[in-house]
Amino acid sequence: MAKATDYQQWARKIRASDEKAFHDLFMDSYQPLMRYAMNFVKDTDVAKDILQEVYAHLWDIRDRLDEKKSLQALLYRMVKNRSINLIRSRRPVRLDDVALSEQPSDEMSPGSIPSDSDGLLEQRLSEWIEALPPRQREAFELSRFEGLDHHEIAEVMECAPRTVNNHIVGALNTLREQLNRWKSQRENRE
Amino acid sequence: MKRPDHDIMKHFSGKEGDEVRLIWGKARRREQPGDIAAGVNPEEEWALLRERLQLAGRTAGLKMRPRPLRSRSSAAKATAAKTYAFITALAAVLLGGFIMWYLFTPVSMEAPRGEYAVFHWDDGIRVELNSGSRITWNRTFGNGHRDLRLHGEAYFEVQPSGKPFVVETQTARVEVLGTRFNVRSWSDDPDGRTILTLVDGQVRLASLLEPESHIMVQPGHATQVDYHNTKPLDPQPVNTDQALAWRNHGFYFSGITMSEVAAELERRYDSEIIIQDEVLGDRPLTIYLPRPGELENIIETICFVTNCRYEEDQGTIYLY
Repeated sequence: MAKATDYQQWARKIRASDEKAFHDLFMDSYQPLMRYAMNFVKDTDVAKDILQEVYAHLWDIRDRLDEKKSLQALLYRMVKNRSINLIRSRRPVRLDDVALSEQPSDEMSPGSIPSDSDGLLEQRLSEWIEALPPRQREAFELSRFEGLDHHEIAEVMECAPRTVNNHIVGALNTLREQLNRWKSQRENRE
Repeated sequence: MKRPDHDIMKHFSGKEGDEVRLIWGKARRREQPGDIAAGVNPEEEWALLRERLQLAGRTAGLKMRPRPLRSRSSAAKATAAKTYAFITALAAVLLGGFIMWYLFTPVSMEAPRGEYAVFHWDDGIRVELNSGSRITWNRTFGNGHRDLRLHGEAYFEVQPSGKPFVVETQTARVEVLGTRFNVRSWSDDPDGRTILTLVDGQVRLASLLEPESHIMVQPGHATQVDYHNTKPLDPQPVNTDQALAWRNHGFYFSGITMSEVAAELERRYDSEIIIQDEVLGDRPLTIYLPRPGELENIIETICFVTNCRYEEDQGTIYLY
């Protein structure tokens, strides 16, 4: 994703109906938002529809964009709200299930693990991340992968920035524990 | 983020700090099985959005017109003439392409969220669109065939003219001669329901799954088509005023879930409503509000009926 300053500039230009800026924003944010939506709806076509709605709505309300507020956080929040509303309209779901609920999977085939040790650690790490408690995982991923700052994450997750901090620290502590357990297992084997 | 925030790092010292930096550096998102990127082309999605929002970029390709050359010497004139012929030919091709493009590119009209729209054609078709609805057609409309596609909810008045008029939705095909009727078909409906309410006249209705086996619907009756049935359900008598309440900015919800009610209110008032109680979202609601007024009044009424509570924060309404 582009830098926060780009988003600020885009917000200003889009407010002035600049279609080029809208296009740039679309191209930059589409894939990450798609990935984010897929966490909730797990169906590419549904996610595409949600994103169409989100961008169309953003264009409709462009005159109300506030460049002092994070456009990125707004986009994530719109995607999340629409995803959750859609899921709710389909079946009863608990909020905790909705928030990034994929189970840690053990379906990794041995063949897919690269031989060098760093690659192995990366694979383990992504499994550990998926196994984090949902709120911790969401905060960690928004920070590490989407580059949102704590205030933006707080907006997306609808909680206080301090809570975001706690989630990320909690996530890192869990991951550190896993890392140390993994290291000692490897040492025992050698 | 390249490295963890300072607020985060201060929680870890020495060896812990190194571990956190290692974790942060090595953390990767695991690609999901059916890769998300497969089947999703941002360019294609952008084209759809551009079409939908009627952005100018659509004509960009046609703006590139060769600049006429000026000949400075008689020797250059022959080449200039050739170039000129070439440009003329090119222009003709472009023009032809443009006409085809013009005729077959769908045109659409939309009532934005929070608004309504009315549209009529010269040959006696009048369409009223509910908030967040869209109709599309192409410019050959009216020459022999009159087909349009509806996403959302609309009320149609069609003067008899001998030419058939067809409305297609995600699941159904409605064919009429002269009549007044309402069609409701929201793409976020999990069953893809199309609900047809006929005020007067007669229409033929068929599922897109089996377009040949149509049924006739009588005035004052409503029926429905969805993804699960190859034929429309048997029409039932209804109060058409209730089904058409939206035309006077009213609401009629009959046995639909709170989540669907919220979706309708979001479109009509262009607002965000979040239902925070999982049980509440699935609760069925029947309510008729011919003159509802402000969104807050409706929310109050709904909360009174379903015994829920609400809070408003920065334009978003939370129900719980």
